[in-house]
Amino acid sequence: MENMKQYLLPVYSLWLREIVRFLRQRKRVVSALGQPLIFWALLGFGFQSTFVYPNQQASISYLKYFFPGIIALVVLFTAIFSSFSLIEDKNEGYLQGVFVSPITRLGLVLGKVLGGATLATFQACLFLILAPLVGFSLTLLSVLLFIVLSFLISILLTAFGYCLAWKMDSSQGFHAVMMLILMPLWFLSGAFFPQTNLPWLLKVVMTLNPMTYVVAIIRRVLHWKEMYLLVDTPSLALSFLVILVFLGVTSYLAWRQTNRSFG
Amino acid sequence: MNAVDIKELSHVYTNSKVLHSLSFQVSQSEIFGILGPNGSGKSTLLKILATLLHPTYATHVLIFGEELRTAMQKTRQKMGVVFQKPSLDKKLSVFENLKFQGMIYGFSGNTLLNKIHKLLDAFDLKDRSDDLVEELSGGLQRRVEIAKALIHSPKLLLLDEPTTGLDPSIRKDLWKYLKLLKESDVTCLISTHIMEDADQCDELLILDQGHLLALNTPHNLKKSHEHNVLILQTSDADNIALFIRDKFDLKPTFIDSYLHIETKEAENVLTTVLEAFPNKLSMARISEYSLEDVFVRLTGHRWKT
Repeated sequence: MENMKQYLLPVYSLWLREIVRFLRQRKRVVSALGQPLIFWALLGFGFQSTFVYPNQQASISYLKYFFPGIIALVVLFTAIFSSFSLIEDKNEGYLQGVFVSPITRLGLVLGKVLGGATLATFQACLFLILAPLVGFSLTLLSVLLFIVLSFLISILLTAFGYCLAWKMDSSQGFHAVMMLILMPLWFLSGAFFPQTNLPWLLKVVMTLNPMTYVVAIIRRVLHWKEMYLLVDTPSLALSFLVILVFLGVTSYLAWRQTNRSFG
Repeated sequence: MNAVDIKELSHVYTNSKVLHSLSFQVSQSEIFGILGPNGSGKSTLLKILATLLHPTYATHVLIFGEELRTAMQKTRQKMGVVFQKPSLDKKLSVFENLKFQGMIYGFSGNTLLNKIHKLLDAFDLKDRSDDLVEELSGGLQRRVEIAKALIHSPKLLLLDEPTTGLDPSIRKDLWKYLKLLKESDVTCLISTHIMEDADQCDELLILDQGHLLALNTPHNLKKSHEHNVLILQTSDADNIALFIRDKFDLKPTFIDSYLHIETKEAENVLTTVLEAFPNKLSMARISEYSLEDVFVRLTGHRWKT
């Protein structure tokens, strides 16, 4: 028991620091929620009149179609911010003090990643409040599932961001990564448009893109009671499996990378 | 038992050897200085001791009797590190910085609170406890930095050039606290390239290009050269040097076009030279033998920072 506490307390310290810092930086809160909200409103209303969902039985408006993708974007943005904070911690020297302490390298990764993931989950849940406005009917079960799954997704994306950010020494470099890797992953995830009727090459890319399964699982949980309406959306089980696998892989890579420096 | 005991420690970066088989001991509760110019290897040495770098070779590196490389977690618990580059989170308050660091070392509840308050008291930070670190002056930030390194009550404190970039009054302030630490049985190992700092250490190791040149108290280092130094700038250096050599049996040396003469009778030499070579001297200075002169004598090259 005592050992467990000795192990978890350092992790809790790093986790808590992420939360405190986030709440203290109002700009971060606003931009992490505001940007997706503006995206959603502008694009949502813009495509509303021309969008036709490829299933005749289901009339899904564009605002509703786009909503799960926006939640994925909220999580992605928060994960990106948390990667920025990792670069900052390295550059501003904060991590030196952590490296010379007895905290294990795994503890360091856990503290940082879980901190970022908690913030991302929190923001995703805030966005969920808007869901009924666009016609999603939520149940207790679907809300609970949503919270658990968005936490898993948040860990996955934060750990991925951690891996990308670990070796960078400037946040400018990370901006490039964000525009060249992270945003295209999101664009081609089914967040914007369904796979139906796309050129085969795009279909292949979307099938291989892990982000597709992230968006799919959010979409399926939000459509919990009317899941049969969805077309060309990976199944719950498959999405869950892909997310678990990538969560394992990115977390492992984050840990291995950290372990290599200053074992 | 010694606080630090190093035997035959060498370190090689890809192609260049930066530490050459160093062996030395640091006794408990002393302020041990490592003096060396930039590039002398002192930062590398500190990094190795702070467990941030694995040495290429060492017979042993013992911290309070335990091998650093095998008992890493254990030795980390016994050491505090003050970095040259601050490690404070500027967006957090003084209190929060101490609290989070204490938790990283596994402290919580009242134990942690007591530790924090003791440190705030000792470093006169009580009034600023709730201020964000970014609002503090450079000197205060330095104090918080040291307090943070002491949160887990380490017996050994490593300080990597802690006074670089600080103005003299803040440096003095810092030394006040270091001496207090010494009284409470904390061993301080401090690297510096500033002579005034080196002078205040109990024991001093002089490092140049990775070699240990001397290890003694600052007083003894200077005493072994009970001379003054006469420094002359002249247009006729060769003749004056010859003259001094013949007349006084001294060995003048050229260091950066200045003539250096180590002697007990500097005034006498100077008046004689003035009589023999009127109007030839453009500058003459007699100075007490300093640590800088010790360094110059040991290395044969000038002190460059």
